[in-house]
Amino acid sequence: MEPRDLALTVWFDGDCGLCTRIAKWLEGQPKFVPVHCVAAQQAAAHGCPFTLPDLLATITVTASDGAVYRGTNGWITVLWALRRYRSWALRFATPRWRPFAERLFAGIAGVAKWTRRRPTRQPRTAASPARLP
Amino acid sequence: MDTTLLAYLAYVAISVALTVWVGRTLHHNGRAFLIDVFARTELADSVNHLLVVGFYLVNFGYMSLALKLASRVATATEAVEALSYKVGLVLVVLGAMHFFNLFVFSRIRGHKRLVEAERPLPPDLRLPPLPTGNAPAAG
Repeated sequence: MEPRDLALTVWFDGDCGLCTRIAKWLEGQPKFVPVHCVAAQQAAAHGCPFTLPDLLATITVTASDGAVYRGTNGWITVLWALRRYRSWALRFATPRWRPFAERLFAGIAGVAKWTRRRPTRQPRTAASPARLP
Repeated sequence: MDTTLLAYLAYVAISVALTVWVGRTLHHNGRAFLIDVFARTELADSVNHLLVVGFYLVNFGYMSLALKLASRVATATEAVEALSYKVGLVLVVLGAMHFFNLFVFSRIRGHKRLVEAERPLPPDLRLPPLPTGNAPAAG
């Protein structure tokens, strides 16, 4: 059983046009589990323990129970939270579909890089940044 | 009694028997399915009963509407032909209802499986519980 008060936070690149659009789209989707989208540039102010370069490297999703998902795992976990796309998340997580999911999300990340604007001023990072693998 | 009336009586007897048979099959075999979906036996039994009542209403209603023959039948052969056509229609309607029922059951079940599905992947990293990012941290 998942915790009743489970919520996910997506730390996305606020300087990337596509990422911002996807975050907006996410906010409007019907959900099984609340999903909050926060620009990585504001992460420190929101108590995120990771550094900005770590967050910008790939999509990072944190769950309220302390679980952290990155990259394809992050995408799949976010899809799992959405009412309309949970069945896709379960499919993407299977060994058969996993390679396809990897390519799909790598493709989206590639397009996202092209839609980056000039970065905003980097805010101070958290006092003791956690290290990501 | 003329042949037409005999054909009507045979039609009613066969259709009622078929409908009751299918209804009982649904009632009997649908129960396990509904108990799995609703997790509460009394609720499952209640829904099962209501579904079967709806099933009987639709089928008896259709049967009754479809009873009238377009022309009177004179011979036994014509009676059998007319009867086979009408019973065939009832069977097709029963079959369609049956598959519709199965479709509804599997939709309900599939939805329940989705709602209950846990996160499909293990976390890449586990930290102490984190803030959810809906409000900036104080300070």
